[in-house]
Amino acid sequence: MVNDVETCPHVKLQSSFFESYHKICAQVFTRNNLRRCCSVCKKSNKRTLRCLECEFTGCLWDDHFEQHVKELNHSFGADLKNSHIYCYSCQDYVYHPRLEMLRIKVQNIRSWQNKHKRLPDRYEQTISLNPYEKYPSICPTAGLRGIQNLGATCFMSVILQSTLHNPLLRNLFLSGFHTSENCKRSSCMTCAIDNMFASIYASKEKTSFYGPTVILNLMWKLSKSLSGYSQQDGHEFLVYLLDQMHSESGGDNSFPCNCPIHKIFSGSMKSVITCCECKTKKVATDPLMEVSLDLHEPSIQGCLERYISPEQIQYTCSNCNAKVATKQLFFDKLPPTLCLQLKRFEQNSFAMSTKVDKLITYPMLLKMQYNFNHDSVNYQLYAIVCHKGTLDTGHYIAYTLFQGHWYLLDDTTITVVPESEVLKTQAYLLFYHEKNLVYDDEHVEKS
Amino acid sequence: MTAERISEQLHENGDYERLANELEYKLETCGWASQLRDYTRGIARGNTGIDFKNLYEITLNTATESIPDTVKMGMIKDIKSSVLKLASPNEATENQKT
Repeated sequence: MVNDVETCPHVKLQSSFFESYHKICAQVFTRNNLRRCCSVCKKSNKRTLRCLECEFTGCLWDDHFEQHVKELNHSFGADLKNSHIYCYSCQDYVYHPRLEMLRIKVQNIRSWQNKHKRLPDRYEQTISLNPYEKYPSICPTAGLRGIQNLGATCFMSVILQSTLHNPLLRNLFLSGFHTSENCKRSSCMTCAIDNMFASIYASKEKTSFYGPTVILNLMWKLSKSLSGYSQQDGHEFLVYLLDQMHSESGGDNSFPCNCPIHKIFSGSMKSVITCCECKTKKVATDPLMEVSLDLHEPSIQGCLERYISPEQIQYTCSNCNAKVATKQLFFDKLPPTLCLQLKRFEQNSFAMSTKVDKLITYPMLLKMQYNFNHDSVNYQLYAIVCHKGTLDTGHYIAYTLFQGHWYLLDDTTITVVPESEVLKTQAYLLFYHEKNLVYDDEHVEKS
Repeated sequence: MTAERISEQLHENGDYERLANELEYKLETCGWASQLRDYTRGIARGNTGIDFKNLYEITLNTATESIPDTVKMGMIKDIKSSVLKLASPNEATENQKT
């Protein structure tokens, strides 16, 4: 890609460069050979270059252009055969991202014109250089930034990081679904999240980090249970954040709710209670925002299987009054983003919370069954939240997938990590997203 | 008549341009240009940071040697007739007929 190449350090762009380079590119690509002759020797077969700063044309091989460079200090020439730029200070052909973009543009337009015998529609707009001068080049690591720990706020940072790298939420916010210009609320968490997306994804400095002061303030203001300086539970913050964004995006208490947050995170589960005696079934549908798993199995798949396996319960059948029934949970509608919470914090008999540090394995690709286990869908892991230490003096870290690589995000320190390390963490929250999104109209076509 | 003088005259009457374009067209259509591009790319990737002049020197030999004979013969014929045209503009066409 154009932006990957090191640019020549000698090119200092002036707008006159752009104009003359544009003219040269246009001549080169319309196969107009008349002006390829060197001003000195009149030949066109010794690699002629056209000066970017004046009308001089000179040969590369016979050093005619070099003389011009020494005389007038104009050090750049554009090759009249292919429009590439030669820098006499570097003694080589060089690239400059914006000039190269212009060259490719003109080449494409002219080849289209040669084929179709006319200029493309909106030619003037296509060739306009103004957009390039208004928007600076993108930083390749935009989107991957540390978040400052403002004092035991790592529980918040890790959830914000998992939000930043959720493809659906990211696309939603970057497409301007909720901006502070359009929002009339005074204390709006969704506006704060949108500003976070904007500042992290537009960030040009690799070493800059984000300070979530606005989000922290809003959280203190809007939630009584999460206020205060002590460490909070990451999952609790996630629930709070999603709920806050849901009510701010026009969500209501209906089930299913149509707000964007629910469309991304919420699904439904069916619970089927079968009476042991008369076999009458009672089916109930409940909303599903995350799956909280007990840690009785060594793998996530095992824990999930246990979650949806039938169990005997005490239940009074309305039909035959029998007291025993089996209850089984089924995933009914699976959300595009699935959050699995491993119940690591449990309350024991003394009403004290302890942490379970057991290592549970989890896959990169998870197959989930739904529709009474007749169908299955594949999920891809994209973020992990880990908790280290004890309940009171612990620290949260996150692993996220960014542009095909995994990174460990520990407050403001970001490290590249191999996949093998990612699969061996002591995960607390696992975030999966559907590998292939299926849209509503596709469902209609299938049936 | 030195080669340089001939070359100058061919430039003047426009034949040089025409011959050069023909050669370019032939080399592109027979696949030589594309093969050479791949070869040069390989060399450039093997010596990262190489500059243009060095790359040119390295690939020049292989490039000229790998031109297909048909192209060479075709061009020699063409050049010959253009040069003969210079020598005697009227006789050249008669010579071609015999």
